[in-house]
This record gives sequence, C-alpha cells and structure tokens, in this order.
Amino acid sequence: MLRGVQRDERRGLRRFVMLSALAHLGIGAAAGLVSTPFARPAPAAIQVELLASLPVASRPEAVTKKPVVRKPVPPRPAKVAPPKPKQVVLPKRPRARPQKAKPVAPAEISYEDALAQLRAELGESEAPTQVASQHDAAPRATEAGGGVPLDAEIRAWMLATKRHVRSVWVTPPEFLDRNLRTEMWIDVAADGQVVGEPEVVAASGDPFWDDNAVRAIRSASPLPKPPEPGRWRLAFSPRASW
Amino acid sequence: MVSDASRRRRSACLGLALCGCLVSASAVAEEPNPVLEITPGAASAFRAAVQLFAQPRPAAAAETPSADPATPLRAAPDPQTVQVLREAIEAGLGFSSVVLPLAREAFLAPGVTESIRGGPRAECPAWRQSGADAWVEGEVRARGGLVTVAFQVWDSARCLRLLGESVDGSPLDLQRLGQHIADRVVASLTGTPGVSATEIAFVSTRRGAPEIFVMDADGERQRSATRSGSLKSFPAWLPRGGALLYTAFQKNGVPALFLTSRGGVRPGPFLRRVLKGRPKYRGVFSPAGDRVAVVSSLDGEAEIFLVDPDGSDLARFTNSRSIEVSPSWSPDATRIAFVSDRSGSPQIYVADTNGANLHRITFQGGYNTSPAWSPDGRWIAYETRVGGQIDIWMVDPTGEVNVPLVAHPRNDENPTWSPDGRKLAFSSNRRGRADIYRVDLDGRGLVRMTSNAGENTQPAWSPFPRVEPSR
Repeated sequence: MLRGVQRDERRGLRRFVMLSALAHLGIGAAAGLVSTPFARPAPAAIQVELLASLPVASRPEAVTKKPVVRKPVPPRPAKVAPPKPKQVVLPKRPRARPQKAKPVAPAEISYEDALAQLRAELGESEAPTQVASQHDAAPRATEAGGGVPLDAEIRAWMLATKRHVRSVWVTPPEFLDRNLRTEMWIDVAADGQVVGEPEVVAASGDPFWDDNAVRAIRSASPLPKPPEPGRWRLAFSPRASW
Repeated sequence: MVSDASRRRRSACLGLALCGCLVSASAVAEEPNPVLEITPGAASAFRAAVQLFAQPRPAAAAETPSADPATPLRAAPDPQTVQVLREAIEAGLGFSSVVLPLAREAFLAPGVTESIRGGPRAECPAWRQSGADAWVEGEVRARGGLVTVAFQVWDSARCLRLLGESVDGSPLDLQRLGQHIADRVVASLTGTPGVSATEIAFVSTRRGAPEIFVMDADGERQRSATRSGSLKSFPAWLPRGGALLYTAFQKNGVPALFLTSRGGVRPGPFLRRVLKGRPKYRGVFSPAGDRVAVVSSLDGEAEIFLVDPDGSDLARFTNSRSIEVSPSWSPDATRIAFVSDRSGSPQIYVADTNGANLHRITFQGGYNTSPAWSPDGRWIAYETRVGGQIDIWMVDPTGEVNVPLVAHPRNDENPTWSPDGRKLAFSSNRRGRADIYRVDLDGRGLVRMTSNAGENTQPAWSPFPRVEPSR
C-alpha cells in the first residue's frame, strides 16, 4: 500500500519532471523561433555600426557629416536634414562642400589595400572592432571559432565594393535631399563580375533613381574580387540612413 | 514500465527534435550578409557622347543626284550644319550641369557611324570604355526647307535605348534645334528636361524708360518685348510660354496689366474690366493658366484678388488693413505665398487659395519679400535683409527649414526658378548697376547674363517651351 503510494508519487514526480522539461524545451523553442526573425535582418543598423567602425571608410561627407547635423533636431527625419541646399550656398565663400573640395576622390581602393588597412586597424585598437563584432558578426564569430579573419575579409570586400560603386555612380544633385531607397539583389561571381541582371526588390518610387542604381552596378562590374561568390543585397540611397 | 520507457524515449526524441529546430533556426538566422549600403560619391553629372552624321552621306548624294527633282532640297545637309548642330547640342547639355558632353577625342571611332540603329548594340562596351554614360546619335536630313534630326539616346551601362525621337527645325536656327535635343537627352537620363531652350524675361532701362526684355536662358539674344516708352515692371510668363503679362503705368498714372505675345495670345490690355479704375500693380498666372492673382486696391492698401483670365469669378484672396503683394503660386495651384506687412514689417505668408490655413513662414529680420515657389513645390526662395545687405534664402512652405542660397555684400534680389528647379536667376548690384545673374542650386556656375548699360532687374524664368523648334 505504502509502496504503491510511493510508486505513485515517484511516477507523478517523474511525470512532473518530464512535463516541465518538455514545457521548458517548448518555451525555449518558441522563444528561439520567435526571436529569429528579429535576429535576421536589421541590416541597416548593422551596416551603420560596421562602417562607422572601419578606419578610412569614406569621405567625410554624407556618412559622417549629415547624421551629426541631424542629431539635435528631433523627430522628423525627412525635414530635419535641411538638405543639400544647406551646404550649397554662397558663390562667394569658400565652398563648404567636401564633395567639390575634393574632386579627385580616393575613388578606388584595391581589396588588398582595404584588407591591409583593416588589419592594421584590428591590430592597433581592439575596442571598436569588438563593438562592431558585437553587433554584426557575433554569431558567425562564435560559430567559426577564430572567425574574425573571415569577417574582416568580407568587410574589407564590402568596403572596397562600396567605394568602387560610389566612384562610378552618377547622382545629380536634385536627388540628394530626397528620401529615396532602391534595394536590389546581385549575384557576384568569383572574379567579381555581376552575373545576370540586378533584381530590384524594393523600388524607390522614382524610376529614374532605380534605373540609375542599376546603371551604377552595371558600370561597376566587375566589382572587387569577393572572398567567395554569392548573392548580395545592395541599397542605394542619397543618405546613409534616416 | 514499458509504457514509461516508451514515454521517456518519446520525450527524449521530442526534446532532441526541438533542440534541432533551435539549432537550425539559429543557423538560418546567421546566414544573410548585411545589406551593402551605397551612398552617393562625387560624380554629379552624366557624360554623354554626341555623334551626328548627315543622311544621305554627302559622298553618296554626290554620286546619285536627287531622284526626285520636285524636292531639290532633299540633299544631304552640309557638314557645317551637322557640326553647328552637334556643338549646339553639346552646349545645351553643358548648360544643364547634370549631363555634360564628352570631349570628342575620347570617343571618336572611325567607321562607326553609318546610320542609327536599334538594338542590340555591340558597341556598348566600347561606349563604356570611352567614359560615356550615355550615347547620343542622330541622323541629320535636309527636307522641305527644314532640318530633320532623328536621334537616339543609349544608356551604355545597361545597353538600353532610353529615347528615340525625330524633330524638325529651321536651318536658320540650329541653336534652338540643338537646345531642344539636349533638353530631351537630359530628360531621358534624369526624368526632368534641361532648360537650355527656355528664356528669361526681365526689366531693363538700357534704352531709357524701363521696358520688358527677353533673353535665352544662356544670356544670348537679348531683345526687347515692349517699347512703348511707359514705365513697365513685373514681367510674368503665361504658363504655355511665348507670352508675357506685365504692368505698365498708363498716361493717367494708374498702373494696369498688359499682355505681349509672340503669337497665340492677343497682345494689349488685360483684365481691363476687372476692378475697373483701380490700380492693378501686378498679375501672376496660376501654373495651369486658369486663374490670375492680381494685386490691386479698393480702399487704399494693396490686396490680392483671384480672377479667371476672362475676367469672371473675381474673389478676394486677402482681406486686411495691411499691404499684401507679391503672390507666388504653388506648383499644384492649391496655395499662394505672398508678402504682408500685417506684423509691422514685410514678411512672407502662405495660405490656401480660399484664404484658409494662413501662416507666416519667415521670421528672420524685418525685411523678407519676393517669394518664388520652386517647381517641385518644396521650397520658396525669397530675398531677405541680413545686416546691411539683401541676400537670397529659401524656406520650406511650413517655415521650418530656412537656408541661405546666394549671399554677397551687395544686394541680391528678385529670385526666379528655372522650370527644372536646378537653377535660380536673380538681379544683383554686385558690380555697381543691377544685372541679371544665374546660379546652379548647389552654388556652382554663377554667371552674369546682362552687361549692358542701365539697370536690369526683375527676372522671370519662362516655363518649358511647349512648341517644337520648327514652329
């Protein structure tokens, strides 16, 4: 009798433990599944961190300067960045616009150079790199163990590609203070050639801006040689983000 | 017992499966690369190669005399015509600032030009190689006393034909024909035509009394549009172009509105029966041409009225004891910017055409006048006194963003937008007497366009021409 009760208790306990284990697993799985969509894209944020952490990144203009201007102004981004005309101005004064001040842009940087720069940066200061990897490459780094070199390679390629495309992309001033964003997929072959037609997946609303982005990619092909061939998503916009 | 074991096994399987799910889900989450964000670089102008050739080719024409004696003009245009036309197109492109002509030595290839052809074009890589973003090619024919150009614009990067058109023009005005083609090329690449074929009206005292003059947008061909000797001011284009509304002081000293035209509109007094006997200081057509804003006064102070061009449906737009002048229509014709001194100093206000939603948009200093609404509707250029000088600024229609455009220790006044919104013309006394200047919106390309004796003021940039060069 007593043994029967104990057995019942034990069985009940075991059932409880199993059920709770199942419940935990279930909750864990649900949490994991729910969190993945968030973990997935958020690319803009990632990109901003990533570029900010890079050394020579780019000319001081759009990327670095505008956000600073915009910061203090509160909510409405479209109006906030009192567009390009702000820098435009005054024929008589020395021009404040870095674009013009520096016509011979460091247009192209070879992939190797970018990689070397990046390695130098990695060697010199660890802090910013870690901030970047925290946002960007954390999963990959943990998975690949010493995954930093891979990330560095990819990032160097991204930097070199960004510079290369910028050097051939023609953007008339009239587009620069508008909220335009064209996103496209491109297939990059091992030799850097853009294979096939870019696939525009998010149009800007202005067909001329979209066409111009495709034109830029076609002019830029071949891109710098990538670490590995693959499919990349590109976003063309007058500003880094808004 | 058996059931216990199987239950345990099942739960273990389930657990493993769930773990597997978790692992694979996190693996999927890692996969996508970050989006590669591209922002504009330094290049702000497309490069276009312009290649024209005569058709039929002069040599062939010489060998086989015209088969059709009834049309003796059906000969090949002379090489001079082709060259002048090409140079006109290149100049028109250069005027746009967003499409620049490629130097000829960069792309001249022997034997490429037989006739213009459709796609696919094998030359695209060569075009790209030469640095041409766009390839403009055209056949020039002489036909019936006119010059006909069939032209195409190719996007060399995508190897895609952007435009294919044919246009006629007078052999005596190849400039205009070239400008028309150039403006169309600009439109094919950017969506907005160039303005090399537009004109600017202005007031000049070069012949004594202030008269209305017109010049091409590049400052060439300055000619008078009025010459009656009475005092004239405020030229304003009719939306269809080719005609101007202006104010002239009559013999009795009362200002009235008049039209002057190259055709299509009867010149002479305008809205004479409206507000009869009252001074009419200024008239401005709405962008669609279906209403006219008229500055007049019933009881002393100037007010703004709206009326149909035929004089019907008169409505009072402003109604206050202060002075209201200088109306400027928004491009969609739903709002009007104007100057009022109701606050004690001249300031710019915006209101719907029915007078609703009135709000002030300028607050800096005590002198803000001459509003000019931009063609894209996003800005209002105006003149403002900063310290001892008058500069040109622009403000958005809500009044929140206010930025300088043109500044000089002397006075810059009367801004007017080019119809593509890429340029601004204004008058300035920076060289002593007032002259008309133009400048790109980004501050580049400042050019003085008048240099005759006399004061040159109140520029008004024409709309896009709506007629073909041959008309």
